[in-house]
Amino acid sequence: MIAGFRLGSVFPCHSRLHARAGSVGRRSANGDSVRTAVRELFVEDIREAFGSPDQKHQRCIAAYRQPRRYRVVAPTCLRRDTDVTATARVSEFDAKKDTPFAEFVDSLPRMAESGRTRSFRKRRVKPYRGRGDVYCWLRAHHAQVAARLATEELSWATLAEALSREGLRGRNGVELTGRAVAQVWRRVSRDVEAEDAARTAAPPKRKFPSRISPDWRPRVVSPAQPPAGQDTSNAPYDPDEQLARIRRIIAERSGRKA
Amino acid sequence: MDGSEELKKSVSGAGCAKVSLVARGGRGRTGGSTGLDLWIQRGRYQGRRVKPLDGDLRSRTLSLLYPPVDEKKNPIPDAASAPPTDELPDIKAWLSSEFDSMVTEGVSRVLDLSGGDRVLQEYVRDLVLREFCRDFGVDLMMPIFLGPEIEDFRHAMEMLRSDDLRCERTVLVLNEGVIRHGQTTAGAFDPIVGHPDFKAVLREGVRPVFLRRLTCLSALRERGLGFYDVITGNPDRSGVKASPTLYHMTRTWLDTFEREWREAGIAEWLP
Repeated sequence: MIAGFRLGSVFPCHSRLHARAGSVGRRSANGDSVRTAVRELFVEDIREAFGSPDQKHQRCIAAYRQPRRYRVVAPTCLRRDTDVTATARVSEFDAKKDTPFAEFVDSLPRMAESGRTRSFRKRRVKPYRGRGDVYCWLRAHHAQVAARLATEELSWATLAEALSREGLRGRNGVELTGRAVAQVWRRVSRDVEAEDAARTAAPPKRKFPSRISPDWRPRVVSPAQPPAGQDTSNAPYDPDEQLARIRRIIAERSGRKA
Repeated sequence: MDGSEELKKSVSGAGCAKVSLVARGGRGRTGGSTGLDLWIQRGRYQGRRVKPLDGDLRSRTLSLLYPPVDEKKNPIPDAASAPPTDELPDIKAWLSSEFDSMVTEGVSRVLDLSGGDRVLQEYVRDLVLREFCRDFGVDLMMPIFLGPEIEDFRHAMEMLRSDDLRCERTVLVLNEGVIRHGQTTAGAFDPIVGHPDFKAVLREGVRPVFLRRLTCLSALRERGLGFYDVITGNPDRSGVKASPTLYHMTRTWLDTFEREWREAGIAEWLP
C-alpha cells in the first residue's frame, strides 16, 4: 500500500480518505475506518486517480516525479489487513521503497489510454421498456455519473470510452461517441428527475402508532331488545305515518328541519 | 290427514321455530348484498342459523364474505352456496335443492339474485313460492334496495306491479350507503319519496325503511371484521380488535338500524 504525503501538505486525495472514512469535519480518521477507507480509496482507486483528468491529481503526480521531495509511507496498519491483494501490493512497494512512484506511475496507463479496468462502481442494470443499453446503464449509474460530471472530472468523450469498455455500443452496434452519450444522458436525467418529482409528490405513507391498549375490550352488549312501549310490530300499519317517518329521517340526514 | 300434510308438519318442526326466506329483488349496485350481509350477521348473532345463497355470479359478494373454508382449510358451517353456472336451468335446480334443504333442515336462507329478477320471476311462477313458503311455515320477505338512481325506483315499481314477485312482506330499503359523494340524502331520495307511485305502493302494504351509511364499512371489510365482531370485541384475522372509533361508529349504526326497523314495525321480519 502506498500513501504518499507531500512534505508540508497532504496528498490531495487525503481529503477523500477522510470523506471515505466518515471523518470530515468531525474527528480524525484512524483505526479500522482508516484501514477500510485506505484500502478502498487507494488500493482500488489509485489507478483511477492517476488516470483522472483532475488537474489537482495531475499536479500531484507530476510533483512525485521530482526526486527527494517526498517520502513514502508504508502504513503498518495495512499489514494487519487480511486483504491478500492489498498486502501483496504493500510488500511489493516496501521492496521498492527508494523509487516508489517512478515505476508505478510509468506502469499505469495515461488518461487517453483505455487500459483501465473499471471507472464506475458496478450496479445492477435494470431494463427499461423501449430504451437501449446505454440508457439503462446510465440510469443505473446515474448518481455516480452525475457526481463526476458536476465536478468536471468526466468529459462526454471519456464517458463514451468508459461505456465502450463496459461493452456497450450504440444503435446498430456503432461505436459510442461523446455526443451520442450526451443525448442519452439528457433523456436519463429528465426521466430521473420526473421519477423523483413523482416520488416527492406522492403523499407519504404514514403508519400511525396504535395507542389502544392491548387489554381494551368494548363492553359486551346483549342482543338488541326492543325497549318497552316502542315495539310497533303489532300496531296497525299507517302508510302516511311511515311516509312521514321516512321524510323525517331524510330531512334529518340532510341537516334540514323536518 | 293426508301424506302431504304430514310432510309439511314434520319438516316445519324440524329446525328452529323461525325459518325465513329473504329473496332480494331489484337492480344491482344498490347495496343489497351489504344489507343481506347485515341481516345474516344479525340472525347469527341472535343465535339463529342463516345460510347465504349467492346467485349473483358476477360480484359474488356473499360467496366472498361467507367462504366454505377458513385459511387453514377447515370447513365453515353455513357457508354461502352458489349455482354451478348462470344458466337458467342450473339456477333453478340449485334453488330447488336449497329450498328443499331449507325446509327439511329448518335453516333460514338469504337469497341474493342481483339483477336476476327474471330468473326469480320464472322460478316463483313455477314453484308458486308464496304458497310454498306458507305451506311449510317459512316467512318469506322480499326486500328491494333503492339507490339514488330514479331508474332503480322505476325498476322496483315494475317488479311490484308483477303479482308474481310480491308478497305480504315486501320492503323498500332506501340505502343511503350508495349515494354519490357530494350528493345529499335529500337530493338522492326526495324524488323517490315524493313520487306518486311510492305513496301508492305504501298504501298497498309495502313497508319503507331507511338504511344509513356506515362510513367505516370498507375498513371493516378489509380487516375481515363483522359488524357484531366489532361490538363484541372479537379480533380480526390478524388478531387485532376494532379501535374505539370503529366500535362507536358500528355500534351507533347498528342501534339506529334496529330502531328504524322497530319503528317501521317490521323488526320481526328479519331472519
